Amino acid sequence: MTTHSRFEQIIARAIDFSLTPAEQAGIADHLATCSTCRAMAAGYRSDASALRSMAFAEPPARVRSAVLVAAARPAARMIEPWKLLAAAALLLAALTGAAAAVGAWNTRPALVVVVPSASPSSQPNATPAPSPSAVEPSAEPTPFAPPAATCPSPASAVRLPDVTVTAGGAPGIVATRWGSTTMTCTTTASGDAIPSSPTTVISASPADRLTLALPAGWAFLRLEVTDGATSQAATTRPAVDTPDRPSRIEASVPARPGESIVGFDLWMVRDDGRVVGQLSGGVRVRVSSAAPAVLDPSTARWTKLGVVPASGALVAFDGGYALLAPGDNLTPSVVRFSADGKGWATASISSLVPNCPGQGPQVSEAIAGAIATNGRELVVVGEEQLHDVASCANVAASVRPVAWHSSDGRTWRRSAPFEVGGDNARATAVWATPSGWQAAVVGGGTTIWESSDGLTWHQVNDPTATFTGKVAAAGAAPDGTVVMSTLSDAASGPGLFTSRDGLTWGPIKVAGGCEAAPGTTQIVGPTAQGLDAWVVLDDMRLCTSRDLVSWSGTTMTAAPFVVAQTRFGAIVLGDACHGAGSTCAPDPSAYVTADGVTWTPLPHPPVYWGRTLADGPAGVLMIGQGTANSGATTVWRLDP
Amino acid sequence: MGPVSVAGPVLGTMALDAVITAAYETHSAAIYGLALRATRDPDLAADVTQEAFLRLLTEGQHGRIPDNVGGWLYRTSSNLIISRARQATVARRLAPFLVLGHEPDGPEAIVLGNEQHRELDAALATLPVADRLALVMAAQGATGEEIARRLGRSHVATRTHLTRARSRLRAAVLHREATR
Repeated sequence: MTTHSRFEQIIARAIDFSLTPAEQAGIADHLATCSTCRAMAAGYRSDASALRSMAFAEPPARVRSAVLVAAARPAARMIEPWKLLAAAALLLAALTGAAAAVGAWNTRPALVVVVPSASPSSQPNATPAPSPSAVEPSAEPTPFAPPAATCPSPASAVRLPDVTVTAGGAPGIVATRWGSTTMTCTTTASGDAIPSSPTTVISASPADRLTLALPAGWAFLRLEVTDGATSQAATTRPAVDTPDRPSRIEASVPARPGESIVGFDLWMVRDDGRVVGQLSGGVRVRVSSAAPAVLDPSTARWTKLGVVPASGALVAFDGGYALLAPGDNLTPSVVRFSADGKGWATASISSLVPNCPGQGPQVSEAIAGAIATNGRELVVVGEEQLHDVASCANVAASVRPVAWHSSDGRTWRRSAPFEVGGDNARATAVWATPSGWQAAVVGGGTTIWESSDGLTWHQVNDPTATFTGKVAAAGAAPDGTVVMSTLSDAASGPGLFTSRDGLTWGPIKVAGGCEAAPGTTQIVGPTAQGLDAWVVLDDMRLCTSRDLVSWSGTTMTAAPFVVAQTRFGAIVLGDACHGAGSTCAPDPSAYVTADGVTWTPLPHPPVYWGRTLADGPAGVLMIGQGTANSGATTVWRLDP
Repeated sequence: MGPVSVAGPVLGTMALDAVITAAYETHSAAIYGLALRATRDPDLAADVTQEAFLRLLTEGQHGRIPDNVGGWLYRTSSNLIISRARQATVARRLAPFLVLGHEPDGPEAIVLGNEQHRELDAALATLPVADRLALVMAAQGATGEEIARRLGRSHVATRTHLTRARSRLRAAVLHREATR
């Protein structure tokens, strides 16, 4: 044993135990002459002092509530052993609840939409034209040759005018301009090349028409419209030529309810013919559906559709439902797909590798963490870990964020590990944005990453998008607004943060009592077909807001830990006896709200553990397990 | 230390719910802090805390409130933490935290607040669960003898154990500093 290591033992022991006089004298002498050991002693003292300041922590309110409520109950009941074993299942439920929190929402026809009522227009641009040129798209796109601008050229540079878009009686909005080209008889100039998503939103009903208008002095020559849930996945409608040179032109609103991006490429001409221009731009259009779905809690019931091997985080998209079983170090991550909730196909998205020399495959090389959908595609994020068989251990600093992408829920492609610098990192949350996907990556603080296709990811290099704590939950709205709760932040402590674009973040200081967010389990964004409001679950409390400014908060008697947007409004699942191995019987409950304020109890199917909920093509489905050990995991549909 | 009845000398005439409430007010921050440090998982720590107190309630309902409630809670929660750490179902949540030097993942960060604490927490995560329990109990003010009793070890073994845990923690901190 070297001198240093002998003294190190004594120094370590001195933290907790008193030394013999001989040891004391020896160490004092040594420290006087050895700077290495002085530094070592300081390190030990510093560890001990830091540990003391970390040693106590207030448990979440739900623990207090569960304990004191149980203590106040008159009946002295025995612990039922299966409930102790159920603890692990509950943990899984909490985990999958968090994973489901970040699922974006599906948009489907015939669902209720709550659109802010449009105020009567006061903008001059929104005044309907006496006879707008109503042009239906022609079947065949025709090659377009713009007319040449007539001479002489204007004396000064000309900027193409903005396009104003109106729908129904709503006020007109100026379309976001992506790019333009201006031609005179002697010049060609391009400008405004901003590759961005439109920022302005217009509300419409399916019967409305979109009217595009140019200011006086300009006329349309041609219009080509695209529409889609994102600008990347837009479909192009046939182009329409307008040789009669109207100043207003109409197009139909997108067929899908909810929010779409309507983009356009158009040609225009100045009345004097001396300027011809091409302009591209777009707006967001939020389309309501005609007939809201109605749920009568007194007659609603759950119909059992079938069984599935395990629960997880359920999301719904156009093609059906995807159920992510995140897996763990020993179990591969699995996504199960069903079109109807009855039959489930399984796709493993990670595989097992040997743990130690000579052993068969037994440890998972990747673990999924969260799933999200944009309505058409699915993205899962998680972590990949390099495993060293020789040492039966993970390679140090080898955990990297990774993502999987699928267009159908059955076949999955995996991204390369994200290019994180430094220590281990994993992706813990993902959400759809108007232009693709974003994910939160934990490791050396939390950073935000984005991807247009779910497979190539880059970090958002905005310092405000770096958080020191873990992202506990995140939710997104169709317009790209994100709300995230972090468990810690150097500047302001844990809390809710919001961003219009996922790039620049600011705190939400007041959120109906959920702003402290130490126990946030799930956040969902507003949806067109569900509740048009944000819902934040925080420990025993549940808070809603339409605009992230004005909030309404409710303290629940059951700990709410699953929330989903459905055609009937937001549905929250809770349990008055949430927790491990308790003396109270499972007391699952479900509530629905159409306004975000009044929560009406719903019937609940006989599932308790690992509950997850989503609204998709076959209806509102709940998946959960009956009892911890013996109960099968079953799938239920809510019938109004 | 044998169990005594609810009406015994320690508790006098306190009603069971008052006993549990008082125990919660007195010990919950210590038990949760212990579980949080040892598991690094706020959900699991909350569940362990809740279960420890509910088990105490069950003991009370059977007329067996321990005379040292704090010690009993420590022992029970330590056992819960250790047994949970062994369960495969929990390993899915714990394993990454146990094996890797991740950033702190929970509301403990409120308490942490600074870089040193985060580093220490991450270093703590590389130690065996029993080491973490011993270190956190010591940090909460427990004597070597108390730690020994709670962890069910001899005093001598705990002395060695705690000292070795401190050395391991120091080594882990130094390793993290060197590899950052």
